[in-house]
Amino acid sequence: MIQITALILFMIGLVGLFTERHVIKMIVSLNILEIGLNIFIITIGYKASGIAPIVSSVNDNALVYVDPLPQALVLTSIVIGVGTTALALAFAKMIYAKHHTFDLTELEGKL
Amino acid sequence: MTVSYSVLLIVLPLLFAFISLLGKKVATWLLVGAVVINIVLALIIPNGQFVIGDYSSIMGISLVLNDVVRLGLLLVNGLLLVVSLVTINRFEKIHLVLLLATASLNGMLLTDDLFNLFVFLEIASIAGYLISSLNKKPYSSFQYLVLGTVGGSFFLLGTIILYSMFGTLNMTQLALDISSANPNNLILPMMFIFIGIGVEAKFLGLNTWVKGVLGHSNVLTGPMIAGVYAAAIGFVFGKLTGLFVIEGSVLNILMIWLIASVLLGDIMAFTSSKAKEVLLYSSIAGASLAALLFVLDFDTWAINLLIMNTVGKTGLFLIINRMSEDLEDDELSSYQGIFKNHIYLGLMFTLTVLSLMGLPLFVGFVIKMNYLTLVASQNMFVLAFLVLASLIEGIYFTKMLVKLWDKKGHSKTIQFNQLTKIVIGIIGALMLVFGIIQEPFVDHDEVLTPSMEVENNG
Repeated sequence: MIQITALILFMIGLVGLFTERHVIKMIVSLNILEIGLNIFIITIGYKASGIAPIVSSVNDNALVYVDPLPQALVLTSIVIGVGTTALALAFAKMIYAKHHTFDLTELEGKL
Repeated sequence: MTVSYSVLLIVLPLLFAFISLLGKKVATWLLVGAVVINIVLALIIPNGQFVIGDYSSIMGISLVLNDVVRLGLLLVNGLLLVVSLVTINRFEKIHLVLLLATASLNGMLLTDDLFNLFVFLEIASIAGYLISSLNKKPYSSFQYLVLGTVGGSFFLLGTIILYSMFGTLNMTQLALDISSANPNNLILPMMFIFIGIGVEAKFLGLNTWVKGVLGHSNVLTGPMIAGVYAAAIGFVFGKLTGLFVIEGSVLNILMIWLIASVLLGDIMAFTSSKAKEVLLYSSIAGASLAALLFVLDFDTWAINLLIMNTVGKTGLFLIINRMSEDLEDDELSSYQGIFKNHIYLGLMFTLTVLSLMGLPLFVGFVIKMNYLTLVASQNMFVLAFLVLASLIEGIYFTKMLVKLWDKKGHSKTIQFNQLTKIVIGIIGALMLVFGIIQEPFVDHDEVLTPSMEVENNG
């Protein structure tokens, strides 16, 4: 169920990118898309009743751990997402400084 | 020296990137130094696999160096060296970005881990967005960023689906597991991964950013995106086609997609009256054609075509972008007769263009004849489309050359620096020399085919 929710978020972001004509709203859509993807990745490693994958003194083979790899991947993915968002906002600022608008319809009319 | 030194190809440019913050003068030398060291390392490090941190190669990140990767490294770093030397003193505060691009492109070529490939792809893309911002067209850079990020997200989605199916991100292991899996289950992740790489590879529908970025490019951004980046992405695409068994309906979909990319790229170039646009649409067609050859499993000729296209386009963009800067116009008509006053440059430019067209006596002819013969033995429909694309390519390049050599044109002289003249001279000469002496292609085929087979079969 949570995987479907994550994919719906991904799709909402994608639709937002195609339909929005405002630069900032497009960046928000991009973030929604990335959040959906990150949640989807986390769910891949999820195991019902699983515990955090931390080695302890308790040596019990019956213990079920969640897969730590998707969590590590998501951390990297979040960092990349932050970098991309920062750069996108910098471009948005440059667009506004040059064209005095965030609206792409208006901007394309000027180009 | 062991294969473990291959990590230096990623680490050294990164280290130099941090040191480059110390000052502009140091930064210039660090960039050139890093690229030269990379070329030397790519030449002397032996083939092999290096597992970082001694983890099991299925779980850890490993780097693989073979003859194909070595060729990719030499091409990417060689082009980077040319671009750096020719343009570096003209742009400030870009050395760090170029060093980051060097590290990430080398990483993309070397890594044997799918998620690690995504990370390097994203770093290279971010460096690419920053390089494109030198065009002073923030809207174009923004478009590039949005499409690149969506592409990266699809790549990651495909990667994580593969991980959930096979429990590993190691590409060698994945290639083995995938070969015995049900192909129908792999269609979705495979398409996601190809869509992801398709943005940087400039495939149809995903290349809308190209016109904004390359159409307004300068002497640095044009050769970087159309030359260096295209070379690295082409090799990575080849690596990814080796990962999957491409057959049946997926093969048909990819073939139609790529043929449409080639044809539309050439038609757009044909209809354009702007010099940069002709080159950029030609780049789209060239990249898609190399990708098509990879998909059809003609890897050696795909690599040869990729090398010729990226080297040739680097030279052409250097010349055309310099001319458009000086004349402040991009219309082909405004360049009419420009080579009257630049006989040597015009000659070398012409040799390069004739080779890209695939005329006899040039390296392009050898490559075109070989891949067309192979395609003819497999699929006559594809052959018909490729011949049509070749014809269109021939017409628009001829139109361009006629315009540039037209006696009726103006007599303005443009200042080209000595390095640009040397670079285009070397490129033009190589196009002719390898067209006449074809033995290297035979040796090349003998070396590359086993490497690609090992890669394809894990």
